[in-house]
This record gives sequence, structure tokens and C-alpha cells, in this order.
Amino acid sequence: MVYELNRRTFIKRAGQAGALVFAGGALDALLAACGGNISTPSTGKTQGTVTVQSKGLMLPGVLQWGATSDDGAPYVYKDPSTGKLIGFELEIANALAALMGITQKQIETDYAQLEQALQTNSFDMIMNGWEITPDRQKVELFSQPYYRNGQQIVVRANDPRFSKYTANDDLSLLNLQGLTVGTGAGYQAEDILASDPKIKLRTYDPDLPFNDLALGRIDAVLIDYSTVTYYVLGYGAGATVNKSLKIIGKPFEYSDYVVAFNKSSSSAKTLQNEINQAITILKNNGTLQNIYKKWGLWNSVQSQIGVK
Amino acid sequence: MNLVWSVLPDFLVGLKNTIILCVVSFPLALLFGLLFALMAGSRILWLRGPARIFIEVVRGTPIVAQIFIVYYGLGALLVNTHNSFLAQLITSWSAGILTLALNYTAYEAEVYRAGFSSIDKGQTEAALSLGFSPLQSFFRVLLPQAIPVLIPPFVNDFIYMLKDSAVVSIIAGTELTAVLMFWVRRNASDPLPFYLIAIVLYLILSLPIAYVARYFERRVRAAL
Repeated sequence: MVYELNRRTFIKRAGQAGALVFAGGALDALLAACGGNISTPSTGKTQGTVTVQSKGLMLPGVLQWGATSDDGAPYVYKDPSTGKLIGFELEIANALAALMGITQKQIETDYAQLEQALQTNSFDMIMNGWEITPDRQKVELFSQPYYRNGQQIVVRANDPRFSKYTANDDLSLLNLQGLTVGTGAGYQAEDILASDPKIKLRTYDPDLPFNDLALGRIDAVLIDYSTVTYYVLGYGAGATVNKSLKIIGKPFEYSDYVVAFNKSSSSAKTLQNEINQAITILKNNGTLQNIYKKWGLWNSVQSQIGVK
Repeated sequence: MNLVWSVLPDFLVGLKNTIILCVVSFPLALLFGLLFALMAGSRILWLRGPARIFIEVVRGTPIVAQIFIVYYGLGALLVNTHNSFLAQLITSWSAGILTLALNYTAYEAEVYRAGFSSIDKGQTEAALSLGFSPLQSFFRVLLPQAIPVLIPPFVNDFIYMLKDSAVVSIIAGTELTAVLMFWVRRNASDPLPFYLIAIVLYLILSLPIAYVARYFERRVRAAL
């Protein structure tokens, strides 16, 4: 996100963002490399036992993962009361690193720049509600899924057009036809909504569309269920139940969150294997289920991807 | 290449929206800019003070912050009036036009001020001594001479506005940059063709404007 720009062309902006990502990544790597005398802000565990190898890392001993913590709840974000990074994906990163006996470090990157940053090896992997798309398959390798996410319809609680629906109805894209529907830029819902010409799509970046929904500027929001747990249902530190909004219908259009690696990196295959092993362990020993329950993300479809 | 042809209609809609935003906003900025320039040059403190404050505040803050304040700040205030007309007044269109117009009002006011001060004071004095009213001397003597001086910075600022209008994309507008970012996100593995389309379209807008402006500038100068 670029807040402090005035008279600049988008070309400059894109160039600067790219350069910043690149320079930021390089600086981080440099700082981490001199880790002996500079304290890196990694929220991590102390060196422990090694259950899974970590030979695929760029920097031995640190699992570096790219994500956006700005407006990143509940994936990874700053706890408004303490300023510390929290989030369900941060907890997963901690659990992965613990299995490898190493520390983890989230590398802050604008969501729209994550893929380019991965291509320039600014970090080992993307873990940020990332989904497999045909375009991403060209340049990325993926882990096994760690969460199965559905798209959720959110509307104003007092909107009479939706008073007949409850959260247990079976709704679909058809129920949104003729309406103006908002979602976040780069979210899976953007593609889903754009595929139906009868829906008027509005894309929000860097903000989320919940403000505009509450203000009555759009009719509905279609967005990841996991985003809804924080912004509407009030799960997670700093979250409040948004009484002016409500969810209608069960989530639909399920897709899986995966970890993405840079296909052109020589160590990507190794790390892919190691992360897959670690995820399998976390699925089987109940760690993932505990994390999802804590964040209001647990539901029956998780068993379809083997979370026990 | 097929991809480029398939997304071009989308980009052209974005281009059209960028043009609409600027063609509506810029004349407003010229009009209000003149008003603020006259106020800022006035001897009456109650006119001069507010005008100077407005100009400095607007020039001194980022347009990104301004558009958020108009869209979410002003928008939320109006929604809270529970008047159905006011509540729907601020859309991404109206907020975009309002922000661009207000932002450029401040800049154009300064352009007017510089333009007027470049005309010799003797011109106004002569007009007044010939019995012109102050208003007449301004509109018949000062302004016509200032226009050739004003055109180049105005054109320059209009081209700036074509590019600044990209900020409307952050409040979910659908101008050229918003369309660009939409397609870049869907093709993040190879975004370059899309950036190139957008660059070419922005250039197609700005280059002829600069050319036509230079032509008119010559004509106006010759006519004087």
C-alpha cells in the first residue's frame, strides 16, 4: 500500500513498489545474514528437536514466509492492543517451524506484490490464504492444502431483501445476480464474481468492502469465510461482532489454501517435500484442528482434506 | 497477443472512465481555481485567509489521504443523516471527481496567481485611469493578456490529472489503473503486457493534448 504519494504516475508507483519489495527483501536477507549481532524481530520458538528436515530454506534456521499483515486479519495481523503479530497462519508457521526445530519470520509484502516477491526470492514461500490458479501454476509449486475455504455471502442485517434467508440456506452466485457485490482485490471471489456478467463487481484495495456494505453503497459482499470470521463474526483478538452485517447461506465455491514455492528456485522441491511432511503431522496430531477451532474456522469440510 | 486483444475492450472502458473523470474535474478546478486566486489576492482578510488556508492544506496533503477522507469520512457523515438523497450522494464517481477537482483547484489557483503577477501592473493602472471599472479591467485587460501565460501550466496540470486520476482505483472506481490492476492480479506471472497496454493508452491521451495545446498557444500569442 502506498499512502504518501501525490503527483506520481502509476508507472512510478509500480516501479517503486517493485523496487521496494526487491530492496526490502535484499535488506532483510542481509540483516538476517548478520543475525549474529542484529536482533531480528522473528516471533519464534527456541531451537528444539528436529522432526522434519529444513534443507530447502534459503537461510538455514529461519523459515521466511511472505504475507500481508496490513488488514491481514485473521491470517496474520498486528494485535491492536499489543502490536504483536498474531493470526491463524502465524500459528501454523510457528507449528511448522517447531517441527523443523527452527524459527519462522513473516516477511511483510503487499498482497498484490506477493507473487513478484516470490519470483525474486524475497522469502522461501507464500502462506497467505493462497490458492491454486492456472496462472500461478506456471511459476509456482504448491504444498498440500492446509485449509478448505468457502466463499461467504454477507449482507446488511436490516436489508429487507434478505430477511428470508438464514446462514443455513443453500445459496449460490445466482442469488447475487442483479446486485452490486464487493470483494477484496486479488481474492478468489473477484474471479468468481467476474465470471457472472449479471453481477456488478466492485473491487476494494487496500480496504475491505465491509465499510461500504454497512454504508449501503453495495448490496452484498462475497469473500473468504475466514475473512468473515474476523470482520463479521468477531473471532480473534481485536475483532468485534459486526451487528450491522449478517451472513446468509452456507459457504460455497470451496477452494484450498496452500503454501506456494518459487518453481524456478533450485531448493523449491526440497522445501515443498519438507513442508508437506510437516503439514501431514499437524493434520494428524490435532494441531491444525485446535488452531481452526480457536479462530472460529473449524467446520466439517476440513475432514475432506485430512485434518483430524 | 490474443490475450491483449481480449482484454482491450476492458481497458478501453477504463480509458473512457479516466477521460470522464478528468473532463468533468478539470473545468471545475479551473473555475474554482480562478475564484480562489481572486480571493487569495483580495485585500479583504475574510476572503484572503480562508482561500490561503484551503490552498496550503490541499497542496500540503497527499491526494490519497484526501480521497479517503471524502469517500469514507464525508460519505459516512452523509449516510448518518439518514436522508436517502444525501446518503447516496458520495459514490466512487462523485468522490473521485470532488477530490480531483478540489485538489487541482489549489494548484490552479497558484497558476492563476503566478499568471496575473506576470502582467505588468501598469496595464491595470492604465485601464483604471481610462475609466474601466475594476471588474472590467480584470476581464478585458488583465485576463486576456494572462491567458497565453496560463495555457502551458494548465495543460501540464491536465496531463498530471490524467495520471492522478489513478487514485480513484483505491475507492473501487473503474478507471484505467483499476482495470490494469485487475488484469495484473489475474496474470501475475506475466504482468508486463498489461502494463504496456496501460502505458500506451495513457500516452495516447496525453501526447495529443500536449500537441494541440502548443498549437493553440501559438495562435493565441499571434492574435495578441
